[in-house]
Amino acid sequence: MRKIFLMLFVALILVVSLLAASPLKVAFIYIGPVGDAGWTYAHDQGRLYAEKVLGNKIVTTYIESVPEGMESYNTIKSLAKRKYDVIFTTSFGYMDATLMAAQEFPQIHFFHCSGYKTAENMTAYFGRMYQPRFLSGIVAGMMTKSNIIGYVAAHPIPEVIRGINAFALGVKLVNPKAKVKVVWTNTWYDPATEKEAALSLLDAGADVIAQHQDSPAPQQAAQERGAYSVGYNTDMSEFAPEAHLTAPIWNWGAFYADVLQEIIEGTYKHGNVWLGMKEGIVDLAPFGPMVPENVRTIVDIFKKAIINGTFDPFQGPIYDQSGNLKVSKGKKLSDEELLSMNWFVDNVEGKIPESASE
Amino acid sequence: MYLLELKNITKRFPGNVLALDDVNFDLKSGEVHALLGENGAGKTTLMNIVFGLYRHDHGEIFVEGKKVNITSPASAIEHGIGMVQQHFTLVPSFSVAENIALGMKKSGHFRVNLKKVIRKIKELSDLYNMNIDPNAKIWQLSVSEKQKVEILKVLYEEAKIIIFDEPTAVLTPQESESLFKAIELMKENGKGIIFISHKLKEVVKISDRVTVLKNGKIIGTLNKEEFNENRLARMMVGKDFTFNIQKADNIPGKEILNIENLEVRNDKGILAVKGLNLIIKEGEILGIAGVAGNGQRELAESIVGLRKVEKGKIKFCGFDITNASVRKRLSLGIAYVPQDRKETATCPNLSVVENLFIRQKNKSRILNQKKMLKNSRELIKKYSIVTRSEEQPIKFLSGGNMQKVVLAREFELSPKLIIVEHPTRGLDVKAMEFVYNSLIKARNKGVAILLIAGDLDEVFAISDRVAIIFEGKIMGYVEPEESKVNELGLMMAGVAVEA
Amino acid sequence: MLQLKLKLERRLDHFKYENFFISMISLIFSIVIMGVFIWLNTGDFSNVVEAYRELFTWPFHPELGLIDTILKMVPLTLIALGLLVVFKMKVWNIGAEGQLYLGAMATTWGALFVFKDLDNSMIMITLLLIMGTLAGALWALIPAVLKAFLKLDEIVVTLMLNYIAINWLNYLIYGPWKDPKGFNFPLTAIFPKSSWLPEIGNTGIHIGIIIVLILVFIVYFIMKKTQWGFELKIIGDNPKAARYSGISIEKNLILAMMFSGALAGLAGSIQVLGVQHRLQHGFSTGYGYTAIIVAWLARLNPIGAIIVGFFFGGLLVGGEQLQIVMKFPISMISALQGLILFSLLASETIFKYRLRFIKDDTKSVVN
Repeated sequence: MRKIFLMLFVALILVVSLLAASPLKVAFIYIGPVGDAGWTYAHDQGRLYAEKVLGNKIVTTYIESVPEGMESYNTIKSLAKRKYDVIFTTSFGYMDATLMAAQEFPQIHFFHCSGYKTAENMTAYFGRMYQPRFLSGIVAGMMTKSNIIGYVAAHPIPEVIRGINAFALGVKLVNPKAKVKVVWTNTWYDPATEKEAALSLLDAGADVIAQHQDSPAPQQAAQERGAYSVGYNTDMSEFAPEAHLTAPIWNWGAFYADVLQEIIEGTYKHGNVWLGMKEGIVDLAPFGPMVPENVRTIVDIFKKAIINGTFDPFQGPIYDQSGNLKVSKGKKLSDEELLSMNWFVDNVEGKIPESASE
Repeated sequence: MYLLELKNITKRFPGNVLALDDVNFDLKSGEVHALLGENGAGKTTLMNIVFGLYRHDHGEIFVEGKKVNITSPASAIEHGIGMVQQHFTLVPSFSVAENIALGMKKSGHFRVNLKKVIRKIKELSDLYNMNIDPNAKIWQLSVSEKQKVEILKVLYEEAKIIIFDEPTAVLTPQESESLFKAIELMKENGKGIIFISHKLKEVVKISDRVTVLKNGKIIGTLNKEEFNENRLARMMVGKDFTFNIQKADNIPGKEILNIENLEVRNDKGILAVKGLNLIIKEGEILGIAGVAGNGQRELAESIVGLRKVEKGKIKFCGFDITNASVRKRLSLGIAYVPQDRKETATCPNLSVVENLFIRQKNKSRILNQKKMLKNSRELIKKYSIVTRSEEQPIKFLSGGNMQKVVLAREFELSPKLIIVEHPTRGLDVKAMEFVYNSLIKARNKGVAILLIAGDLDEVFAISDRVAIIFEGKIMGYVEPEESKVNELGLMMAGVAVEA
Repeated sequence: MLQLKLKLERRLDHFKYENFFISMISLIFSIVIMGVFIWLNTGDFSNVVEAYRELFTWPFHPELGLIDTILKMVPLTLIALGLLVVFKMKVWNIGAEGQLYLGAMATTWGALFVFKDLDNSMIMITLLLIMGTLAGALWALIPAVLKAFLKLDEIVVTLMLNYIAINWLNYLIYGPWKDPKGFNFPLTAIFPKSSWLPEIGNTGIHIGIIIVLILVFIVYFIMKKTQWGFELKIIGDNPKAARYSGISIEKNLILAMMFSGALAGLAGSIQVLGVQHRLQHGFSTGYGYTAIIVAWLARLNPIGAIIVGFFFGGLLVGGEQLQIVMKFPISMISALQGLILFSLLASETIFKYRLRFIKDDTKSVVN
């Protein structure tokens, strides 16, 4: 009898210690290599932050340069087979594959960044990057002298268009005469092409260059020509210290640490989350030394207003390029409208490639 | 003291093939020492060792009495050894002077004074009656001129020992003559010449001593007063040598090929065949004699369909084939043995079997490999082709065996007409005999043969009629008899003779 | 004095399984080098053992990575099969990637627009595969004709056409073919279910693998048993001899290029119908380029292509696992691929020579 009791006790101890000791296994799927700046780098910083905060409660890993589309399904599946508990897929193109995996492995928590599909065990998450974009537009609008601001844009998808519009609205707020000129590169990371694009904008008279790619090349082009630049993703000031005004940046760490903590506690509820400056998932990088005090003050006012919800960058009246009233006074765009945005505001110079299906 | 002395040289090739067996050889200054032997006797191997291209397994080399260790062509040149190889190594788009400067191994400087090079080339060219313009581009030169450039290269490096590897294989008789004169001059200037050849006549003509090699062994070394063609031939083949050709009279049958007013351009776009007329009949060998470059090649290629006809008509067995495809002509029964075995007639990396069938087209489009293999084995036997196996890539066969493969293939097409260009170039006596007898056998069966030959001996050996070509036209016909040589010579030089 | 000397000399013959041997040697060599690199980099030999274990078990384990490996093998082998046909005649088609894109695009067009209302899955899939195959063949026809009649270098033209194909695809998915319900994201709508390639049983492997197996056999038959394969071999070895034998180089060039384009197009078709079910960015991870290495490592042998394709599929899958387990960067796997090709080219040269030890006994009497 005593023997059985002892065995039970030992078994219990074992189970308890195993439960306590086995950390949450977390994996990230990246679209590119981590590198030292840019989109994937920002996510990886978030991963490292979560590791730091949660210590030995989690172990993490990541896979770089996973192609988008259904082939990523097998990559996700291999993580499932390796008994990972939480999987973050950090590019739009993984959406369907993530959903499929979520349906197949209901015990695993999935997080897909920048998409819109969800499941009981799959969250779609993204940040309201347009909020700091708007603020960076204020900075650019006040710093320009030629009233021409260049914007090196990646692909004509809603996320990028939204960013351009928010930026242009920020410019317009402080400088109604200034125009935002857009050049598409159709790249996410191609320093040569992106630098070329920036130079063409500088040649056209731009004295501030903003961007939506992962390479610091547009900012380097701006610095070479003595112009200013607005970065993206992470603080890239070290790449162009004389040009870098500020940058709308990602701050995934807080989000990652929070959700993982909740998962450990067993309280996390999946759904669609689109977080903003309030939650700290997006922010503005520190200003460069050339940004004067008055600019900082104005930006600060709007930052506070956005955070406490009294101001929204996409509140009316907003006109599109052909002068149609898109948002009337007192109204603002819904999340649905923001997520499928396909038009430019009136102070943007540039075209969105035609789409025949509309 | 000898200029060069080789002692007990032994060389084995992979597969334990004994290529050279305890060979001794020496060379004095101011002499031409010929190295004579059949294909595969080891002549080239021996000289490649002297020139540093191969390393010998055993034995010693002495240059001017000192033992030397030759590890590369560069070190051979340092010891005063130069070699004019069969295959030229010249950059076509460079000038003569640039090519020679490029090969300069002694200069030791990175910068080359091209003017100095040009001056020296001129001097050398004048000294040896070469008549080479140092500024001419290589691609503009004829084969014999290219060879002269190779010779100049060697002379430029001030070689004392000059090796010629079958230098006349690519030359016309006239060109050979002028080469011999240059060699004579080199001799007078105290150079030692090693002359590799298997042509008895020229060896007898220019050599002071002759060493005969057979199967990698020295058969003997003879002095000028000791050798003659007959004796050397005996040493070479190991039996009394005469062309063993049986050629019965044959009455030509009906007309096979009829060429009317043919005009064909050469590679440079110039008319090479200018209004040529020719008829060949069943069961005859028509030899075409002429100095190289008078339209022979263009004539042959236009008959087989490789070259466009500008004007005129080619009729084959009554059909007009002027514009027919190569394939069509093949199927009608026109076989062709081109002069460059390695460049045109074979695929070097394909096996012997495959090379036996490249010209055949299977109607079903599916290969019958079993049959191919069986046929190949029979052909290898029938034509006594020496090859390790029928799967051996053909490039590993000797020149004579490669030619046998080509001949076997062409005969197997059961042609009505065979065009043969320089069929025995580079072949040894036995192989030559084989080629001639095969052609005669075919002729006896009624095949028409157009023989475009390099030397007159060949034309006279087997032709039934000889046509003389000059500047793209047939000058006339002669009977293949010794008495007609004079007449033939005149026509080859473009003088019309009443037949 | 007896000396041992090392000697390098040209080999005059081949041995029977030389090609296989060369490939194996270069593979083993590259993998060993990679191990040394890992060792030096991490300073821990157990990492090397772990990496090898991961690389050779996961991708080939039926319950782990095998399905993924097979799915990657399908396009690699298919493209390589086409490439080896043109490579045999020494024409360098670098454009398989573009031909793959065209196949995928044509198939998408068929699935979403032309045949979208077709219910019969069999007929629909057959038609779509044919469309993809034809599109690839036609895309390859362009460089073939330019080379045959204008002597334009096929390497440059095929490479350029890759960029055109990629940009064409971009235009389509950002513009006319964008999914109307896709929130303006650059991808097409999902294909109708009737166009999806059926799975074999419940394995997760689509029937593309069967097509590959059949084609391995067909290409093997073409190369070894037909007059056409023989003619390609002749042209590749000596174009002059081919002309002399009455073989039309132009005709064969066009046919062979179209054949290789067709297989690349078919691979694109199979990828969108069997795996992606829609057209979007990154549907190919450079299969058209990796297949060049596959064809070469297979020594232009069709049977070799499926073996090497399988291995390379495993390499891609194993590479991801190395990242998960060892946190190696993806560049490691790209470097390994490059290393394999490099050592293959090197060993090809080395194998033309042989190394011999000889006793140099100069003082003693010979023989």
